[in-house]
Amino acid sequence: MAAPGLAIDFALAGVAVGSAAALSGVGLVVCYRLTGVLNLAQGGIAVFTAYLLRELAVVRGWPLWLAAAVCLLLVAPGLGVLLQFGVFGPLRRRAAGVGELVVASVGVLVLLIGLVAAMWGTAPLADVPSLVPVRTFTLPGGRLLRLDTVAQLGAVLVVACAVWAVGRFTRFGVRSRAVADDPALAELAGVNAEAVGAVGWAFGALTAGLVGVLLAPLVLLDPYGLPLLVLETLAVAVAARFHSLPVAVAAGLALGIVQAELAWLHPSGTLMPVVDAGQSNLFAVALLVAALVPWGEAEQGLVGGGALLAGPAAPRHRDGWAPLLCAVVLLTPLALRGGGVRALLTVPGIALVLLSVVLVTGSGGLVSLAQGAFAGLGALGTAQLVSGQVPGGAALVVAVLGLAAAGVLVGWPVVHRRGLVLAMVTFALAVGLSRFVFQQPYATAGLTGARPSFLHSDRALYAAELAVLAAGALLVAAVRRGRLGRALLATRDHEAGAWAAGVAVPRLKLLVFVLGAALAGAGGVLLAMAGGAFDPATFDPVQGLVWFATVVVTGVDSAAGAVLAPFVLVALDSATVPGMSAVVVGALATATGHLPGGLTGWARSRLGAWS
Amino acid sequence: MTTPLRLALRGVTVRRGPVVRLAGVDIRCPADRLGFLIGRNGSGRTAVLEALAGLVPHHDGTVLLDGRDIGSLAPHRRAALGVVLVPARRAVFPTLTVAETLALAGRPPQPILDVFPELAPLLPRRATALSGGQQQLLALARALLTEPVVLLLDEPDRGLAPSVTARLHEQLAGRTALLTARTLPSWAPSSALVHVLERGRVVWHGEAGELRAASRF
Repeated sequence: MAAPGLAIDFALAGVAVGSAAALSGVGLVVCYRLTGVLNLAQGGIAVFTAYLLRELAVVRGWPLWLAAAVCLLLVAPGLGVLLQFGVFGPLRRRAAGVGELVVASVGVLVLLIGLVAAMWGTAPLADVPSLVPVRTFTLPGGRLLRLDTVAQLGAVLVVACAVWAVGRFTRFGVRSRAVADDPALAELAGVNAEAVGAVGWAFGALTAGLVGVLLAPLVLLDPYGLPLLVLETLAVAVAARFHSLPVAVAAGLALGIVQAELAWLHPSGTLMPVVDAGQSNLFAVALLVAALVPWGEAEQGLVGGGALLAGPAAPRHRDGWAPLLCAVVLLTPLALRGGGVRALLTVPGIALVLLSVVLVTGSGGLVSLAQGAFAGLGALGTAQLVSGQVPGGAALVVAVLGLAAAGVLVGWPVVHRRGLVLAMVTFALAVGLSRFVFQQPYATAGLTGARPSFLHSDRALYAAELAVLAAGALLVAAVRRGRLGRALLATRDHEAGAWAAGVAVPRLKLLVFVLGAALAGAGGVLLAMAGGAFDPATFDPVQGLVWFATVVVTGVDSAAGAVLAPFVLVALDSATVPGMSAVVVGALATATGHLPGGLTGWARSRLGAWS
Repeated sequence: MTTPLRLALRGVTVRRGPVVRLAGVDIRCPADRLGFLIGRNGSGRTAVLEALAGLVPHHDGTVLLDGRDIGSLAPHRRAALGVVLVPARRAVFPTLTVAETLALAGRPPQPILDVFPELAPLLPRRATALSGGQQQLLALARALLTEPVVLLLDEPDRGLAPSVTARLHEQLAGRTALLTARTLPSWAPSSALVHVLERGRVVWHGEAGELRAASRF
């Protein structure tokens, strides 16, 4: 093992990443406090700013200070203000819930990543200039200290202290806290909530840009890696409970330092793979731990910020034409000749995952961002069973039952959470599953194809998938109708009222969560069979967010929308370029402020206007 | 008794989805007089106040302040012009202390502490640590402290102690204010202008004295 003095060197190296994480956490906390929005788009803004800085300073040859000033003081805050007035202001005005705000910020994230990829390509870049010259000092005792590390640490402390002082001692601070508590009431007290929100977004975007510019020289810059890195700093904001700046700074720095120390420790023997996995995914571990530790009183303030998906309950609709339309659209490919069916094999699987979101979030009111991960578990389970010579049909049954059991296990601690906290816990689960199961060789090594042998023709497989989808859709319809459906609606719309009316709320929520997990798992099974193998990228947490966004965009209450949407998205991807569907969903998601009830809500109001 | 008109709704309609909350309503708030909006639950009293304060958009008609159309202004702009609404419930900021809440008015709090001395020991407390009645008092005190041109109060007496209520009514005397209530309160001066609402329409308006005289028979 290396000399103990090296521990200090590694700690100093960890401060660089740690201070970027702390800065990102401070930005997330302040933005949440002033706007009520958890800014999942932070990584998108970061990567956009980093690319822009490189474009101006390296490609166009601007002086670095000028390029940095334009990027950080002009473009990033301007982007933030644009987001407030174009995307999040309208959502706030109609008191949108956590789910819609999450979806809108996912939309912004996806759009910005798409924009960066379209403008600058996806090839990794190593020539992003560092804002602070790479120079080292020698400390007394012979330690080397990098100037940029000192500058980053200084920036974090200055920003955090400035934010604290403004909140504590200025009139703007009191007014912004009033907006954080209750925007409508703050307006009545003469506070311009839109302007405060714009300041919050400008600050959030500025810190995001700064994080991007600071991190970019430390990593290879590409459109996907940096946003994920920044997304992981969510752990810092969750640890701070979206409230405490000192905790955010301390957590960010601590995580950076611990990560560096773990790299130094590098124990040999059986512990090594565990430590290695923990070290490279430390922020994911921290996110999971921070989200699962009881939130206590911190949860109250967050739940007050809008627990439900949508504000006032939408009227229930019975669209008689919807099931017929779904059946016609889904059955049509069977009548087609040629390889058309092959491209659509993933449609029923995705449809089942989306249906599970409709059930859990639309009917149950639980904002679960883990449905994609449950699908991943189903897919992985199937791939393993089939590799172990278990027939495909049996694998489906075993995987679905296993997922239901997992739903009970996971659901029990989860269903007592609400609103943003529930969203965070489930997202942390999705990240954890992706990093520690789907991407680990112990789970995925040696898997053979998952496709059952008796379904070798695409047409037969598609027909079998449709049968499973139909069973899932019938299950959702059965749950949403009748006594159970009424109890669910009552719980979603007024939990205390449902308790008072004799609904066993936790048991009901657990039931919905378990059914949702099983449905998503079944979807995963179909996706594994359709793809012929297990692909971890399909069940990435960001892909899960995009699926969730798809459901909200099409109408979270609409089962028909959930069945038809994947058809359109898969067709779009195969007709243009892969990833196009995500960009379209992202674009629609940023417009949720203008589309209450999603696309189906809009369609219904149009149809209503005609009739 | 004729006084200049301060705040008025002219033919205002307010809808929420398919529901019509107000159907072509005229409301007048003459200067330096109390006004009362009387009606059952769901008659549209709160909708009138929200339309005046700008919390809900109105579809037809105009909102006039001293003859100027303020119908397109955001709530905070109307508050800055002196149209101040205190909603019926939860009208305090949970994480602000009493002192900070009063500081939102942008004036020294002493005048209102002289009227409601029971607020003074509560100054360092957070609003969530107050009882329902204390919260209501705080909301009213903040509104009074801004020296509003027109005060809009949604069921202001709810939860207040009787001694506090009496002092509140003294404070309201001589101001331009519009209050909602289910029935005409006994303390309402005879000169107060009363609008009676039913199902989103004004079915009677006149002075409180007239209403009392009419209901004697």
